[in-house]
Parts: sequence; C-alpha cells; structure tokens
Amino acid sequence: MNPIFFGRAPKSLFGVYHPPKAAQARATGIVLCYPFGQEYMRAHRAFRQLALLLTKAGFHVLRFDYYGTGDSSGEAHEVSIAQWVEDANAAADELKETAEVKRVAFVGLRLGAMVAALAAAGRTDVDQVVLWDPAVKGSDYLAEILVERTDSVGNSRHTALADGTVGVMGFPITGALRTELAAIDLLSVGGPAGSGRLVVASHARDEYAALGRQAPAGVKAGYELVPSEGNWNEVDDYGGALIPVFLIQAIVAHLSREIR
Amino acid sequence: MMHGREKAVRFGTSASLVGIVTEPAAGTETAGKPAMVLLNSGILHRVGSCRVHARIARALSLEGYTTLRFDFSGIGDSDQRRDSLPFEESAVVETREAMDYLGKLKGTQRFVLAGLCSGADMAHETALVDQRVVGLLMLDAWAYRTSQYYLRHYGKRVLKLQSWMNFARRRLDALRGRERARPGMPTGEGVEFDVPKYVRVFPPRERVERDLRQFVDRKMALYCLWTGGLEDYNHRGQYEEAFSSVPFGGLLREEHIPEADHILTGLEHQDYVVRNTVEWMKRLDGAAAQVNGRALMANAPIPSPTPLTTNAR
Repeated sequence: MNPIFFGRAPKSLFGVYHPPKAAQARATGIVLCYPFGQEYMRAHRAFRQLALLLTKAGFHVLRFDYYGTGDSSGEAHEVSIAQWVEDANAAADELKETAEVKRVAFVGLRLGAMVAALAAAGRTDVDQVVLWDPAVKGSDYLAEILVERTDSVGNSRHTALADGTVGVMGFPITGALRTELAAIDLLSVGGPAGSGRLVVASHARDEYAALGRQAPAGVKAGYELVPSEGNWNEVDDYGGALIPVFLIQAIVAHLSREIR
Repeated sequence: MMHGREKAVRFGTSASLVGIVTEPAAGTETAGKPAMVLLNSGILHRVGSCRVHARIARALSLEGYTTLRFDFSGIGDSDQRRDSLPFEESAVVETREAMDYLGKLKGTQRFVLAGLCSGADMAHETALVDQRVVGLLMLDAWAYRTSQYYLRHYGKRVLKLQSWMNFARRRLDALRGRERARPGMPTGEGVEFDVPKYVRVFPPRERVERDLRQFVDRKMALYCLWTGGLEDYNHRGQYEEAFSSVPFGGLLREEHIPEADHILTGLEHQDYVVRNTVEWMKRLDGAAAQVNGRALMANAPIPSPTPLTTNAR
C-alpha cells in the first residue's frame, strides 16, 4: 500500500495505491470512487477492505479523494461533479502509469457511482463499471440527503448559510452543486462500447433495478441485489463505519470473473 | 494564499503508520514555532470529523506551522500492530513516534497535541509521559460534574414534563428487566458495523488533578472546548471548577459551544474551531510564551461563537 499525492498543484489529489498481492497480476487497474460527505467518512473502511480483497484477486487498485474532500487539496465549498469526474479520470490515468496497465475499471458508491459512470462514459479503455447503491438521479439523491437530521440531543445536523449553501451533516453543498446534480440522470448516460456495467444494490429499490435493467448501446449490463443492513445516509455520534461484507465480496467476485 | 506543501508519509516501527505532513506556507515565519500533531477521533480516519483536521492543518500552515495528521494502527490507512498492546498504550507509543518523526524531519522539539474525544484522551496521556508536549487542544475531553453542573442540569430538567416521562419509562423498563437498544450497534447478518474498540472511561478526578498540576508546572497551555454532545459537561468554567485546586493562571482556555454536536456537523462550529485554534496557537508560540506563558494566556480574549444560522431543509 502506497499513499501518494498526484495531479498538479494547486489541485493535487491524495490517493492510496494498492499493488496486487496475487502471484499473477491482472492487466486491468481498478479505480475506487468514494461517496460524498458523511458517507465518505463511513465508507472509508469498507473501501480499504474492498481494495485489499481486490489486490488478493490480482488487481492493481487506486482509491483517491476528490478535490475538496479528504486529504486532497481544495475547499469543500469549491467542489463540483465536473471536477470530480475530471479527478476520476486523473486517477485512472495515474493508475495506468503507476501500475503499467492499459485498461481500467471503476467501482463507485452512491455519488461516487455517478462520478464513475460519467468518467467511464468518456473513455475508451474501460472494461467494467460497478455502480454500488448508485445515486441514479441527482434530484432524487438531493431529496434524500437534504432530509432534516438531528443529533442525539435534538440539534439539527443541517446548516443553512446566507449564500444558499446547505451544510449536510457537516459537509457543504452549494447552490451551484445542487443545480449541477439536479440535471444528472444516469439513465441517460451511456457507457464505453464493449464494457460491462453492474449495478450492485444493498436494498431493493426501483431506481437500482431500472438502471440495472437498462443496457446502453454496446454495454453488457447486469444487476445484483446483495441484501445488506445499514444505510449510508446517516451518522451517529460514534463515527461508526459500515462494512457490508457480502456485498464487497460480490463486487470482487464479479470483477474477478469478468476481467482477465 | 496557498497553504504549504503536503506529503504523504509512512513512519513508526516498520513504517506502518500513515500520515500527512503539512509544511508551513512559503514565506511564513517558522522560527520557534511548535508543531502540531492531530490524533484520530474514534475510528474516523486522519482527516478528522467533517474534515476539520485537514482544515486546521492548512490554516496553521498559513501562519508558519508544521502539522502531522496520522492514523493510529488499525485505523484509517495504518496497518494493525503485530504486538498485542492495548489501544491506550499503543496510541501513546505511536503519538511519540509521530513526534520523533517530525522532530527528525523539521528539527522541532516542541509539540502541541490535538484531538477530539478519544483523540483528546490520548493527547492528555501522551503529554504526561513526554516533556516535548507544550500544549494540548482537547475537544470534548474528560469532564467531571460539579455542583454548578447539577444546579444547571436539574434546574432545567425539573421543569420539563418530557424528562419526567423519560425517567418514569426508564424505571418501568428497568422493573420489567428490559434494556433499551442503543442506536448504531451491530445487528444482522451480511454487514459489519465497525465501531471504536476503545471504551471511554473517565479516570478518577484525583488522577486527572495530579496530571493537570504537572501540566501547569510545565507551563503547558491547554485549550479545552466542549460541544453540546458530552453529557457530563454543561457550562463554561466547569473544568476549572472541577479542578479548582489547580493554579491554571492563564494557561487554561475553556470554552463551551452547547449548540454544537459531538462530531461538529455545524459548518459555523467547524469554522469556529479552525479559526480559534490558529489564534490560540499564535498566542502560545515563541520564546516569550515559553518563559511567561501565564501572562500571555491570561490576556487572551475569549471570543464567543459566531451567531448560529437557522436550520434548513
């Protein structure tokens, strides 16, 4: 495991590169795209686990923080989906260079799935895209995360600032980001010809199944439900993490099966 | 102005700990300034709750400070230890390794340790055994109830119908042998909830009093801030009351943001913590502060939190 900064200042990004741990390394590298806000905090451990299991299956893996998040440069209020898609592309290019692989795959969770799908759609070197509990429509995702939350003593976990920014459980969402998100619908996003796309869901939800059933031209689409408890969009006072073991195993099994 | 360069580092025994060093911004005055080491809160990785550690590091960089935020073994990106040292001991060992690392890298021998909750506990424990620590920033540190605490606690609650109803229900549940489930605990198959393994038990007050006497003798500066998320603390001044025999002088800065939750989800509360940490650090650095910390700290005005904005949907 190798923690690195990549990309050009002032937009340098933090990532962790995991080299393969199997005797036979695979020729495709996998880029992991985190979700947003508290979901990112809650998923950090699960992503590390996923990365470790993928390396045991022979993959090179890079997980990284988008601009304005985690250890990457930038302020939280400067983020945009367009920037994050650019970051996911930069991560894929970085992984190709570091690991000397020619092909990539993306795995994205929640908002990270949206970023992964958008990034993959613009590339020609993608084997697989795994959309894990994806934010399918930006407007639905916003409606879901903007629901009022309170802490254990009853105080709100949302903040409204004068400029229209809303703090969602500690992470700002600007008006510009809301506008950008509201216009995105993964049902109208294609995929690279010849690639595979799997929607993997922890809960049975109509939008997951709809996206899973829909196959963009030239894309082999699939849908897998791995029932798991827990909800990404919540937070407790302990900073507890969520690690859906069976679902992580299903992702590793799928990628191991579909990629040489 | 852009903060200083950040680099990902591995250090400690067998280079198993992962952290980020934030260098002072170009052109800033760095001479005589202590470095800050930021410690994990529970199992939240080194960026800190709501990314506040990364923000503190960058804000301090603009004022000429070096910081290191890192993950204890088994947390975030750091590997598990191979020995069986309990967390309370390994965290102290690893915090000292972080200081050793920064000492070699930057030549500094004066450190401020910072943390929230378990991070505050480990900062306190490390300061006890390491003379290089010159200051502690502790959020939701161990707190001890005082007569003023009870006066405020019951003064408010006695008037509330809901608290009597809760009390009655708890008694009833207890009589029926029923324990109420706590939120966030592991349930079900196919999912694991990773929760902090460190069980937070406040040490006896007498022990902490002895510790604080040692800190004061060493002229260590303490910035203690409590959110509304810790049940045992309910008013500013409670810490000083609880340890009224300790001659803090101006070394203790004590604040309370009752509107803030334990993990600082309020954007204005995050801003407050970042801004005031920088301001506090600037007051304690330099040779003058080392020699006459009390006078400097005693003159420090304590600002009140920024006005809270309304809640939104």
